[in-house]
Amino acid sequence: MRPPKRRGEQLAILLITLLSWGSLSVLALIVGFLLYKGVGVLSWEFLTEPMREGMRKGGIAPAIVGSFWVTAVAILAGGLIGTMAGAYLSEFTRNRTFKKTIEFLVNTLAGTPSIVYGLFGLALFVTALGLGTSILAGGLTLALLSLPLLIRNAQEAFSAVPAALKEASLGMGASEIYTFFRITLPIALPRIVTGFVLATGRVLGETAPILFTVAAYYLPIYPKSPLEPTMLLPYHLYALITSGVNIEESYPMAFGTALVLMLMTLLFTLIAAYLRYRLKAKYRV
Amino acid sequence: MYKVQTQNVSVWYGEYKALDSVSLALERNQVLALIGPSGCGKSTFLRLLNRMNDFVEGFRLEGQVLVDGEDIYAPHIDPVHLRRRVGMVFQKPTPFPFSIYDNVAYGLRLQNRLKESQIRERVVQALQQAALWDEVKDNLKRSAMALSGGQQQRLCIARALAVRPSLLLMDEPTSALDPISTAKIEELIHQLRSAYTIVIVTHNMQQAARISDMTAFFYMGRLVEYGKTKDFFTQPQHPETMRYITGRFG
Repeated sequence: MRPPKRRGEQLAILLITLLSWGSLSVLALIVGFLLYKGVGVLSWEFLTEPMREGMRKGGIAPAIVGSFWVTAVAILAGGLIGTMAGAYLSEFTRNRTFKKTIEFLVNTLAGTPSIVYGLFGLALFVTALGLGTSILAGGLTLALLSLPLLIRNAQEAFSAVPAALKEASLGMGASEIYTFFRITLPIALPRIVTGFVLATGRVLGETAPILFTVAAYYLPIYPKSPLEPTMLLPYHLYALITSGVNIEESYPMAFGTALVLMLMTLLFTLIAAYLRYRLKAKYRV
Repeated sequence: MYKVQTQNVSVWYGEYKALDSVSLALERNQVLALIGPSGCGKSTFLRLLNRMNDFVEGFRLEGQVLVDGEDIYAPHIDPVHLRRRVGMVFQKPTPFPFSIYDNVAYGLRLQNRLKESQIRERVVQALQQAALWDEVKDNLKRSAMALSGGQQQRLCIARALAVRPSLLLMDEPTSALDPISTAKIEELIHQLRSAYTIVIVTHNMQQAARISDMTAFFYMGRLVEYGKTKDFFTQPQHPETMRYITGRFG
């Protein structure tokens, strides 16, 4: 005897399957579109040479380098502060009201439009702290933007470490700080690194916060110090489409730039996935 | 002087009263079993002895808890140092994600007064005491996570013994283990009695009868009955104890 067919259930499963494949195909469409339009522009020269003749010729190397430095500053600063804040919320405060208040503020911060971060970065880092339009100012602005994500992620990573292990360490006569550095942090590290990657992807593509804090419209040289402005991929992409000297000529380069931006994100994801795999193997839990 | 003594100890978690005026005294080199239904206060009592309740929000204590005649809640006592004298083994095995060797050495390295050769000596000794040495001696660098559940629990006992505590607390150490591993741990407790004073929480009354010298029955935060184990199970003094050990509630 065959089991009865449940029509409703089958229909629901079919629908869920279609929807999930549908969302995947959107990703495939975007990547395919960028490849189709952009791969013709890609060349060794495009990746390694500065732009020439008002963006009509040459490559995008200064924007790649600029994006790299600004992102590095952002993840370094944001990662450090975010991890410490997450550790505090998860491990070092037992005051529930205080904790809920901070969590509420962090969530509010997460909902703040990115252009507002840009304005705040301009006021604080560029003007008040006198950093000027610079890699440091832009990187710190982006660090602020990525903080909610990094704090939340670190907090969850620390909380996911089994309480029994922390108790076991404390029960041995280890202090809370020793327990944190010897047990909790190493076990939470793979998840924290994952958060850094997510933040890297987000920061690489942000445009609004860098507008007034670091981005140069046309500066085809490599930055020599963190106090200089630089070109960046997302803003260069915007410039290529909207305000090149000759948009007809620079338009195809925009797709090449978008493709590079996408590939860079992918590269970082792969590196971090590898790191995470290595760390997980070391601290098997 | 008693090894452990409590005088009219009451404990609150916020508004909730978890222990009500518990007074009890335990001699050196004895095994004390704490029994009673869930939520009766036996784990709270156990965790009083190494101040693990300090981490619970709203924890408050009245009365005195003495270990070796010293009030361990006195202001000059550092709970971190206290926990190095009072070892603890938990319900589920809690090996750290390091090698077997580094697990046992964990507490020794906290004191950073020992040379690596001394640490090694103490690790071997602790593993022997915990009856795990023969199973792991060929590869101490192996991850502790690869051991079986019963081996992991004996590793945790070795880890606690390595720092040479004077008092060993065990919170249902066999409830997550199979019968054979349980028998090994019970045998181990039997041997450790000559060198240590042990307080053990157990849900299993046969276990309490097998391994302990003294038994304390807790019910709703009160110490209902406390006495020599051999009298406890044959001639309980209180009707509540009688009903509990005959399985009529709990």
